This record gives sequence, C-alpha cells and structure tokens, in this order.
Amino acid sequence: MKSGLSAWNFIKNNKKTVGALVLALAMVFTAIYVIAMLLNVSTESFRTVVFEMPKKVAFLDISTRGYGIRTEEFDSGEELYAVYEKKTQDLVERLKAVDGIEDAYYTQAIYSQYQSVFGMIGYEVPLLDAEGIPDYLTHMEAQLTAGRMPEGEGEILVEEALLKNADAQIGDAYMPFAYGDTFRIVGTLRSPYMTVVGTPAGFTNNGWFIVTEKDESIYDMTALLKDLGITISEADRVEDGVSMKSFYETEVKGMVERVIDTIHTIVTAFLAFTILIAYISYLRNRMNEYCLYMSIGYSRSAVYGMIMREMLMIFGTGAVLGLFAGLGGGWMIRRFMIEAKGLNCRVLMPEQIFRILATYVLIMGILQIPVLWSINAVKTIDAIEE
Amino acid sequence: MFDVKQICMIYDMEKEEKLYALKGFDLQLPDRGLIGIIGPSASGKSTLMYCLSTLKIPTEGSILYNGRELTNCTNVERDDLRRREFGFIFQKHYLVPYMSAVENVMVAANEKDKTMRKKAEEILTKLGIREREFSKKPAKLSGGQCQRVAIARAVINDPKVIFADEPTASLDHENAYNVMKILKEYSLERLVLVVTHDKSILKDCDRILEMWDGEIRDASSDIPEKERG
Repeated sequence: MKSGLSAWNFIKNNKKTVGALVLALAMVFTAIYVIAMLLNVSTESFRTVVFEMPKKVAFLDISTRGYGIRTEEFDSGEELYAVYEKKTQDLVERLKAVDGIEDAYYTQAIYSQYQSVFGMIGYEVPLLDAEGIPDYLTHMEAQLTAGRMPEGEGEILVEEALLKNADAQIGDAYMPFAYGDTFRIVGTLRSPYMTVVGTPAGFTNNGWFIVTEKDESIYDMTALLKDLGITISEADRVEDGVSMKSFYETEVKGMVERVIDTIHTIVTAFLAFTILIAYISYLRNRMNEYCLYMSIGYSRSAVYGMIMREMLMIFGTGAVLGLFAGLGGGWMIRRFMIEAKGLNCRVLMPEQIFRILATYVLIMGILQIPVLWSINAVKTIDAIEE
Repeated sequence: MFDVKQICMIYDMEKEEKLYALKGFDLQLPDRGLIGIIGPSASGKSTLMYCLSTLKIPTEGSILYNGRELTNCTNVERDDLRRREFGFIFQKHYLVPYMSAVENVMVAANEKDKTMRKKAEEILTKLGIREREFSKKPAKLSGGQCQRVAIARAVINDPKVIFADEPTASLDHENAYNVMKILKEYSLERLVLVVTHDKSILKDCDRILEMWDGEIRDASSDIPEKERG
C-alpha cells in the first residue's frame, strides 16, 4: 500500500512562502502574548496593594451621616466638629477593643500612586508622629533599607518598588505633581505590603482617616462597623479588603480582560481574513497538483490529509516560534522595563497561551471552508484536459 | 488483459441532443505490447483511454480487466487500481513545480523508502536524465526532460498497464522519437496504450486502433509490415 502524501515536500521546497506564513503567525502570537503580558502588569503589580496590604491595615473615613449626626441641629461648625471628633474618638476606642485589631488612631493621610504600564492604583498613606512610625513599620513588617527614619515635618519613607516606580530618589519631593515640595523622601523601605508612611507637614488640607492596624481575620470592615452600629453609605469611605478587591475586579482585572478580549477579537478577525485570502490563492495555485494526485490513485481524503498536515505544520511551527519569541521577549521586557519601574508581571501565562492556541484552532477551522471547497473541486486530469 | 463489450459513453445526458463519445463497440487488448489509438480531435480516443484507466465510468457497456468488471468498482477500488497497476503519462507532464525531478517520480511511488528512491534514480538515468538534473525543478528542465520524468513517474511502481495520452504532443521530433522508443521498450513486458493524432509516431506499434466519431476499427493493416515493431 502506498504511503500517504507527504506534507514535508511542499514545506521544504517552498521555504520562502512557508517561512513568511510561519513568521506572520509567530509574530501575531508574540504580539498578542506580549500585549497581554503588558496589560497584565497591572493585575500582577497591583496584587500586593489590593490583596496583601488590606490584610494589615484599613482606612476609614466616616461621614456625619455614618455617625448618625444630624448636621441641621448645629448652629456652628465648631460645635458640629466637636461632636464629630468625639464620635470619631469613640469609634477609635471601640475598634481598639475588637479582637484582631492591634491599634487604631485618627490621623492625616496623603495619597500614594502606583503607576502601571496601563492604568494606575492609588492608596492612602498614613502621616504619623515620628515616634509612632517604628511601631507602624513593625506592624507592616517593613524594614528601613536606605536613608533615615522621618524626624521633621513632611518626611516620607517609601517602599523600594514604589520609589522605582516613581523614578524618584531619596531627597526628592514625594509626588510633586500632587503635593509640590511639601513632602520629601528621606528613606526607603522593604515591605511585603508596599508600605509608605511619613510625618505630617503641619496641618494640610489632606484627608483624615481612622487608621486600623489589624490582622488577617478582619477582612470586611463594613460588616465590622455595622456590628458597631455604623451603617456605611456612599458618603463614607472604607478602604479594606472588600473595597480593594471590588476595585481590582472591576477597574483593574475587568478593564484588562476587556482590553485583551477586544485585542483578541480584532486580531482574530484580521488574521482570519488575511489568512483566508492567502489560503484561497495558495490552494488555487495547487489545483493541478491535487488533480494529478487524484489521477494517479490518491483519494480525496489522502489529498485532504496532506493539506491538513501542511496546515498543522505551518500553524504549529508558527505557534511554537511565537511562543518562544513571546516568552523570550516577555522575559526581556520584564527584566529591563517592568522590574526597572518597580512593577511585576508573569512571563509564563498558560491561560493566554491556551487562548492564542484556541484562536489558531479557530482560524484553522475557518480555513476548512476553502480547503473543503477545493477538495470537492479537484478533478482528475482527464476532466482538465477536456 | 482488457475485454471491452459494447462500451458507450454519452456526454450531456441531461440535454435533448446527446453527445456520443463512444458508440458501443467491443475491444480486446493483450497483456503486453504497444497499442496506438489514433484519431482526430473529439473522436473519442481519450475517452476510451480514460474509461479503460478508471478515470471515467462508461455510460453503458462492460470493461473486464483481468476478469474483473471495472464499471462496478467502488472509488476506493478504482483508486487502488490506478495506484498499483496503472501508470499515467498525460499530454502535459503535470510535474509538481516545486518538486525536484526525483521527488516528482517519488510522489507516485508506493513506498517512499531509500530503495524506491534508488529505483527512481535508476529509471531517470535509464531515461537519459543525468544525475545533476535529479535535483532540478521542472522549470529548469527542458520539455523533453520533463516528459521523461513524467514517464519515470508512470513506471515507478512497475504498473501492468501504461496509459499515455498524447505523450509527444509538446515535444520536438527528436524527443518524440526518443519517448516512443522508451515506451516501446516498456511494452515488451507490459501493455502500453498510446493515444495520439500523430500517425508518424506509431510506426513501432504492435497494433493501431483508429477511432472516428466514437467508433473504432483496427487499422494495423494500414501500416506496412516492414515498419511494424
């Protein structure tokens, strides 16, 4: 019995044509993979802020409504503020009594910004008395790695990755685009919780928060506050595990997935269309060859098998090359660009690999239309010569 | 080898005015020998050859090949016959343009091993293709060389019958003569059927069949005895 038709003959004798197709497929694979990796820099980098930091600290900004204060009952702002402060101090004391909360205090806070390749995340930074900072660092498992502890007003300790991310150095102003020269970086920290802490620069017009130093057992501060008689509304602000996770799921991961979905759809449609056109031309050019095979005794299924093996070899090689180029390129990008900006990302993303492979399988599925049409149109040579 | 009975081929069956390519005749062909089928265009000679080679199925009649009825064969059986027992030389060489001469021969081979490749090279050498031309693609070979590669492709599996449809149509006189000489050699051990409209190439045939308007007659007697092979 005759051996099947070899797919290798076409491939080895048409290196330029096949090479161009393989290269195009590999480049598409690499491009999708690297873009997905860059988009995932946000989801990976923000994980510490979103999932780790809330294990140790929560920030609460409770409104007068949250405390049940009826503002219309007060004639002056001073009176209202005095009641508000009392309610706040009362809440602080009640929080301190909760199991799992190590400390709580009402203090100023500024904003910290962590910028990814696409998108950014912000979180609160407590401003404490210089004497209170070592305890905070101990709670946050942070160590001073360079510079010094804050001593005077407006001095900030910044986590190393965040310092890289801001492209700043010790001695630079902290977030000058937001705070001008008010705060200055005096040291760096290494912390598994992206810790930033500093001293206030006098009384500034920044937010005031109840900072709750806690352990992992307390995840949902809204539920805890409800137990303490405070119902959280839109006027209140709670930065805890629940709110951070919700932000992450909708604004970070959700956004990234939407963008990746869009890119996948556009690239798949474009790639499918261009490869479809190229394949129709490729099959037409080879019709006489297929007719010859049929005439000398090969069946339609043998010819179809050869076409499919060629297709699999081309797509397979393109995918393998694209995967290696994507992983190599991804590693280089992470090494020289992502990590240099204090960010993090995964180079190996199995879910993206499977997704791109599924795209290739889908395109091969679409290519069955011209292939099957061609196979059915193949005649034996007697029909051509007539 | 072939026993044809009342073979009839009708084209345009669905039309009112039907076209009879073969008009119902009997024909017997031996196991070996060079048989020429001659006739003007549209006389039915190619249709006859394609019916014998299973590429076409006649509308009516019977074709027995070594006692086996070809008109009842399944597609798989027909493919198998063409693969194992028949060899084809077409009017154009139909070489695969991206394959070398030797690969074009090997594409028809039943086995793709080294022994078969060696055999392909031996056949090409025997047909006058030099070793340095084995790796050349059809575009780099002359018309005569291409046709000889096509002959090599037709004989690689040692077929019992070689069907040659106008094998010299695209060749000059010298190459046409050489191709016919090769076919004559092959016909000593197998049946070689040559369809042509050029009577001059059939002088070495053992038998000549003349076709005219779908009918056949034995025209061997038209060739002087001394010119026959």
